[in-house]
Amino acid sequence: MKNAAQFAGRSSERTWLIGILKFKIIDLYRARAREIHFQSIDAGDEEEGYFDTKGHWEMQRAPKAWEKSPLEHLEASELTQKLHDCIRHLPAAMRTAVVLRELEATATAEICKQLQVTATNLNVILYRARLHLRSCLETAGFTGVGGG
Amino acid sequence: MAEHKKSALSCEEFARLASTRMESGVTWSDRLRMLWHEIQCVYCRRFVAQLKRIRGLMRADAPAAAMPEDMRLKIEKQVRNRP
Repeated sequence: MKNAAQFAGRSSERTWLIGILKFKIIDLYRARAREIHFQSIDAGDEEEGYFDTKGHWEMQRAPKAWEKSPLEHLEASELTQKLHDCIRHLPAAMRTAVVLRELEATATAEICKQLQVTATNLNVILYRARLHLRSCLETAGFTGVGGG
Repeated sequence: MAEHKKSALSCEEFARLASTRMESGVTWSDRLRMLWHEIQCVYCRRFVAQLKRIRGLMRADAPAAAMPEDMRLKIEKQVRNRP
């Protein structure tokens, strides 16, 4: 009620209070919508499949030696193209985070503000994005050029 | 024994920390545990090197690596539409 002085008296106090309540409820729903949005993204994209139950790399997905792969023989522009293809396939939140962080070198705090997530959440999003991106680039590099 | 168990990182824990290290940094004790793991694990050494490579690729060659216009617009829209 500290802003009661701003109340112009053009409507009843009741209308004024209901107006405030309405916006509070809208805020609540907006906050909830955001939460669900990011939860659903997280839920669908666990880092499952990369590690076994003991936390060791799954042999199929363990990082291979890139220096032995056709990746190293690609032109820089071809490599960049493959990287972009991989970025395109990332889920939306991961794509945004990776592009802002890696491509544009945006400060972490700024990305948190834009995505409206905590620093811890952003670390998880970036971690998953990097797992996917690394793996995608490796797959593209080993299988996509000269028959691997 | 419990202390010993805590000091050994799994690859999964290492990978998570390796990504965090590129952002906010990690504690000294985690850094030591990572070093110990890295000495022993070729996959995790590759993982770190490859993440750096990807970051290098994206940042060093910024004009050539510039985001395609449609992707940029999509992302900008997505960020702006957030209530």
